[in-house]
Amino acid sequence: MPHTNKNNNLILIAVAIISVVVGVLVSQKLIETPVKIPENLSATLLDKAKPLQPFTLINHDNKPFNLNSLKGNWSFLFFGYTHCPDVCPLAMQVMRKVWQAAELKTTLPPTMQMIFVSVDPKRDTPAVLKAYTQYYNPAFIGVTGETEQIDNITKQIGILYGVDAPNKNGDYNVSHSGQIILIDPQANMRAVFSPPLNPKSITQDFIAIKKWVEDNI
Amino acid sequence: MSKIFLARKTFASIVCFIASINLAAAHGLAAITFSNITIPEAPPVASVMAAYMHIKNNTNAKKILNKISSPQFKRVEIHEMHMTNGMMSMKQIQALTIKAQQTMILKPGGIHVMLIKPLKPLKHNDQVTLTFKFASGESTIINTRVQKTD
Repeated sequence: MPHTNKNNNLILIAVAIISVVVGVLVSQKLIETPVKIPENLSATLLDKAKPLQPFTLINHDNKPFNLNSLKGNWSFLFFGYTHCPDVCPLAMQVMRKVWQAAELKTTLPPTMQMIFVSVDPKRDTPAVLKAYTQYYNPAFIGVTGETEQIDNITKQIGILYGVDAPNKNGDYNVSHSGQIILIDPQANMRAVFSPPLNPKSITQDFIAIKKWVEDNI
Repeated sequence: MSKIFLARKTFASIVCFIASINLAAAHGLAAITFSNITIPEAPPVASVMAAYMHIKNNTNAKKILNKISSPQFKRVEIHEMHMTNGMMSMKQIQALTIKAQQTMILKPGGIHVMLIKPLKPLKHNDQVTLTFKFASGESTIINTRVQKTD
């Protein structure tokens, strides 16, 4: 009887030792494996995913566009205005090239959306935004809202803009950040692409960031 | 025979050359030259378009471009993009000074000609006429076409 107890104790000790060893190995494996942060990115990758807080805007069909509208897709956001002659059309052309390039990648399911957020709601009505975005690609989405609603999302993302005083003709310019923002399918801000915007490097960076995020889930 | 022919040919060439210089000077063609003119197509609702180009001053005096007009647009202005407080801002330039023998490059993200309020929406291949007036009196008319972007 005492002999059996001794054996049982030995088994328990062995099990305990094996558990600890296995535990250490597994935890080491878990620490080591997490996919390396992609290197050589042109984009600025956020150290930690930044979850966006609820916001309310309207899309170019006058339908609500909110936090849920960002879920399920990788979103590229650019903030500008349709009366912009230079920076915004260039950014839209870049987004079109990224869209076309990503579409060609068989590894990439069509889970992207390209969003142009107008910070000039006075002139950029949903109808104007629709014609503007559809010109670049029928799948692109134009979005705007009341000033306070726009400010909610621009402040969260760190986008700056300012409306200049009108000139004698009543025209006015809008100063604005020139970055494209990348949001993941859980509505977390992930990366910032800064000018000069290069469609090739944005596409490459996006594929690397997407893979890194998916491998870490 | 062939010597006379060669001499005549040379003489004719010189005459033509001198004539062309005079013609160029008389029309002010050689003083300022325009190249690489691009007007990218914009969405049909766009109320502004941009024109980019190289403007070369071939003279030994500075040239001041102070007016541009176009029959296809309500107004034409010169604007410059610059970064202010982390934002891309645009400022109107009243006159563009091009130094002697220098080329001014108007390009995206820098200085551009802003074509304001097209009288009708312009698309790929539509003609645009631009008249450039300089303070020194020269005037140049350029005919170009709207180009499709990729």
